[in-house]
Amino acid sequence: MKHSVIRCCSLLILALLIAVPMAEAKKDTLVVAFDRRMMTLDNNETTDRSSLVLYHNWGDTLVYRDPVKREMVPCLAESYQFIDPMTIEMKLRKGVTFHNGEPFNAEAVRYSMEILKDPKTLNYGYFKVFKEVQVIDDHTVRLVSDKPNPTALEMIANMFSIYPPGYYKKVGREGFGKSPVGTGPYQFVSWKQDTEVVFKAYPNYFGGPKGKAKIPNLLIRIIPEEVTRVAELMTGGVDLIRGGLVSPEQIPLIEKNPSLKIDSDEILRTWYITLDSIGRSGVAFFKDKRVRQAVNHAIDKDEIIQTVLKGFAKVTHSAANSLHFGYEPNLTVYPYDPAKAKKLLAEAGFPNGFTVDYYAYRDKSVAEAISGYLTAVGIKTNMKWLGGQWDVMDKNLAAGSIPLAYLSWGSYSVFDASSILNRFFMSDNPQCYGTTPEVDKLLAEANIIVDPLKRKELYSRAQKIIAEEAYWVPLYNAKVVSAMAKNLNFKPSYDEIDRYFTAAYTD
Amino acid sequence: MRTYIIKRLLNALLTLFLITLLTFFFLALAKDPARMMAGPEASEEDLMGIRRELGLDRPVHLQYLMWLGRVVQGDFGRSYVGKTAAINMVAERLPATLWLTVTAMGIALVLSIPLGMIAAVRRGSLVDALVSALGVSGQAMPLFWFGIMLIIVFGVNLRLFPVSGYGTPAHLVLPAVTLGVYTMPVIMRLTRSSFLDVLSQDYIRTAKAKGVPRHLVLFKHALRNAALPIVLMVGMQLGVLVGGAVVTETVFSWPGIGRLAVDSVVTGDFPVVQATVMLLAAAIMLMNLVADIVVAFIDPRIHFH
Repeated sequence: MKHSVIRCCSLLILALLIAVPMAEAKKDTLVVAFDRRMMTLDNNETTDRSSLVLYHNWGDTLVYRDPVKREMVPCLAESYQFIDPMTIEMKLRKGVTFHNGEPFNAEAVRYSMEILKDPKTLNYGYFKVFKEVQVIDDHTVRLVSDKPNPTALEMIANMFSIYPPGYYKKVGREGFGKSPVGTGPYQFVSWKQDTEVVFKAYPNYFGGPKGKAKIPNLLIRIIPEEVTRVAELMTGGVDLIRGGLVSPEQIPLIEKNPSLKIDSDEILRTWYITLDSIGRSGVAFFKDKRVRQAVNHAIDKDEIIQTVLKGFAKVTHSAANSLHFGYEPNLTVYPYDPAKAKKLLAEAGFPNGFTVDYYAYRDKSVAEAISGYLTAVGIKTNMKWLGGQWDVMDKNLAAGSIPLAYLSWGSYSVFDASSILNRFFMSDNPQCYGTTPEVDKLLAEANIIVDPLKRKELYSRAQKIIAEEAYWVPLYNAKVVSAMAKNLNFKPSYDEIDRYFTAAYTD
Repeated sequence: MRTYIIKRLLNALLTLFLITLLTFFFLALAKDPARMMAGPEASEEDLMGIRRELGLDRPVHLQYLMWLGRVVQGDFGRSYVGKTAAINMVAERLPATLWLTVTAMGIALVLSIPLGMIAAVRRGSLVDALVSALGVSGQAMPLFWFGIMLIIVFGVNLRLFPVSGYGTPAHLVLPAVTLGVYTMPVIMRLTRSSFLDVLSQDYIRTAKAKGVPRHLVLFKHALRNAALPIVLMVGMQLGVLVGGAVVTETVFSWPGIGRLAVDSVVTGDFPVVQATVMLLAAAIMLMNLVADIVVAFIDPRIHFH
């Protein structure tokens, strides 16, 4: 009896000792940590960024955003041109095959648009503006929109997933989401929903602007807890943490570790404070422009970036992001000046300040810093913390019940000022908490013309008015931070889409 | 005995019904699954389309009744987001959670019963004080924090065990110890007090007076009698363990139902939340019932009415 117990114990210990080193040997596999279980791998059926990132690794788009050149280049298309403001003609690349051997051709493009135009498709709404794909010949298509569509190429590069018609029809919508087939540098191998997704390099990949995958295998591991992700990185359990999943608090720890490194890039996400300038929420304080200016003067943006965000952000004064087409840098700036803020509040009739409900849903430490700055000038905040639940925040914003909030907007990877200004400064949008008829008119006009110079001018004027009226306190443009093993050569991308096929080991 | 079990089962059914009512209405009030699925960019019209598709455009009480009608027939519905049968999603993850909780309970018992016994036998000694201190600190440590400490010490610094994941026995060690230590103090303290109680009984004195060897007094006479409340407590602690599994599974990326429940609440995936909650509630009630029956077998004094 005693002997068998000892034997069992020693066997168990042996099993543990064998099991541990097994995790070590792997140089032909890139292991990336993601945060959450994905519901589907079909990019048309989810708004989850993880699925989008993976799509761009196993699939391709007609045009591709080159993160090094920072411009749009043809990918599955060989060339493209606007025939008129509503029509783009594309010559398709020849000799491209899907992972299952199906040829890529005009029919595949037409069918892929048909999927997106089906109201049953979750992301149907994004592609409403596109009317149809006309097949001219086997390798020529025309993408036709309902109205002039200045951001058409942006949408095609981000979200127009190209699927193989034969396979899609065979496995159906749900089957495709479980086992996707594309043309991309990596091809899907297997998926365990709570733990991992496995890919391998597609040997017949055409190369193109993305290039073939440099590391033969790609393993995505789902690790929900941030500290655990960092611990896995430190022990070599993962080689890279997906861009955007490393918070500033972890950065010093990672930088101190000699076998790890950090890289970052600016992204489209803009953080700001919104003020209810029209009294939708029943709170009237911010209807007075002087109060809005006071809030602008009350916040020390540089200090927040240096201390809380460890420098991983860039100060901004505009509602648009500096990466947006149409961004205007020369506008009214409100330097940090608490004395002036107090004076403005007194002029507006609040010498002793006031108390107001204040909402925040992410980056609690910044949210609390803002609250501190406001208290310092007399605006006492009653903070409502929504713990990461953007959907609850969004619902309340649309319902008009938010007087003051610390928010962000990522512009859905559309590098055009319309993707942020339309949503928050066009009066018919439920997210609008303040605008002028002129801004409304400028934005509406910019929506339906495609001439870049004219559009730039319109957006510039709109941003100047928005800044002058102090509807927001634009705070900073975020950076995406990637943490990785020192021997990994990888750059995070400014559109927050990790390109794992570009990663390579240096030794 | 039979009427007792039937009564308990009916009771359990009523409890389950109340649980479904609470989860359904709380979730319906807090979450809009359509918005979670479609993202912030979606228009109100798109959202309505999704709600129609999922049957969420009807009044909440109707949604609930229809759902209940299907559950009675054994159909828990399909996940809104994953599109697969909710009950299958739970069933797939059940083995992982069972492995974790059963191992954790094993660790807790192996640690807590001997320690509790030693503390009782050496009452008032330094050992007793140490065991009490251990119990208090074990209880006071947040599960989340303790799990991360284990990761840092045994995963990152000593490299003895994998930090997270699932698959080999080595992966089980840190999460099971985390959860085991979490539940250990309660059982340990109960063992101690139960033993103290038994040791002061007449029959122990009689046994000692008869010259029965010390280890026989402790293990045969005392342990058997002290075991009753411990068995009941183990039944109750299994429920606590499942609760703890929610946190442990998240910290260690363990693919069990605790994580499924959290994910589904966040996305507002009602059918999966309901299937998970009902299954867990049923399991916990069943455990408690089994514990009661086991006690009845051990203790001939208990009669069922």
